Amino acid sequence: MPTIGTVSPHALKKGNRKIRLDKKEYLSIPTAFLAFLAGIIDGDGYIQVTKTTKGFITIKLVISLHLEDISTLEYILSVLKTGKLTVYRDLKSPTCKLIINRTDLQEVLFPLLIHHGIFFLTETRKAQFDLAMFILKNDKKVYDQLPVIEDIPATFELPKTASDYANLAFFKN
Amino acid sequence: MSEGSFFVKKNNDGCYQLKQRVHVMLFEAFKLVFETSRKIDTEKGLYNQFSVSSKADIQTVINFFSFSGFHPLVGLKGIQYLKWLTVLRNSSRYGNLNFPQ
Repeated sequence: MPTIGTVSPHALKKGNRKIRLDKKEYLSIPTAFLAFLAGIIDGDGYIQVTKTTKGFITIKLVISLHLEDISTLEYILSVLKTGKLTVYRDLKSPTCKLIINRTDLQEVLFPLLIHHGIFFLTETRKAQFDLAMFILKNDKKVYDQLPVIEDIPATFELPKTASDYANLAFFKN
Repeated sequence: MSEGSFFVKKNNDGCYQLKQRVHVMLFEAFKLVFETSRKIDTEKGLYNQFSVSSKADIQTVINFFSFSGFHPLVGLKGIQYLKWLTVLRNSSRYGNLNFPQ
């Protein structure tokens, strides 16, 4: 389960952590769980690619649910063992978010999805995933040097027909 | 799959509904998975809605969530599903369907 691109040395400085070499623990995560997770991300998540004040690229994946659904995020966190759960109690609609950082995406979540042949089924999430994968694979650092969306290569193709969707091995989870 | 909503209407119709941003192919696929010919509604050109309530369709929904061995519903949605099953079990229309133990 290869890491996507190269992990930033800056990320390793935080908390004095090391590159994950042993990913056996992650490979034991069931395919059905990852299919379920991809569906949650399709419906209630997003992959955020933004420009820092210095013009660099930041990437993170966020799943945002109403606070009453926090047990779903706690469940995901307990299985995935990556990400940070944050609660926003004071909003008009209290919200909780599970945020998975760039390093965890490139070392764990994206490799797992690819390993299990699972992908996003909505156009928006697919485009966000393709952009994030392009940045990670090509070690792009400067936001303004990113190509236009049409020139970003697809990591996978969406099914063409309804039965192609229904027949996907992971669709029903 | 999007987990959808389980509820009972005022007229005691049990209902399973999925609503999301327009994605025609995906919603046609839901019809295939739930083996129904119910038409997909489109709201304001922005959202698609899949909705079933006939006895046969509700049995297919129960079979999907309780008897298929797919990833179970979790969290609040799982609790809503169990409450929905309890109401359906006690209804004259759906009471004789096949429910999980």
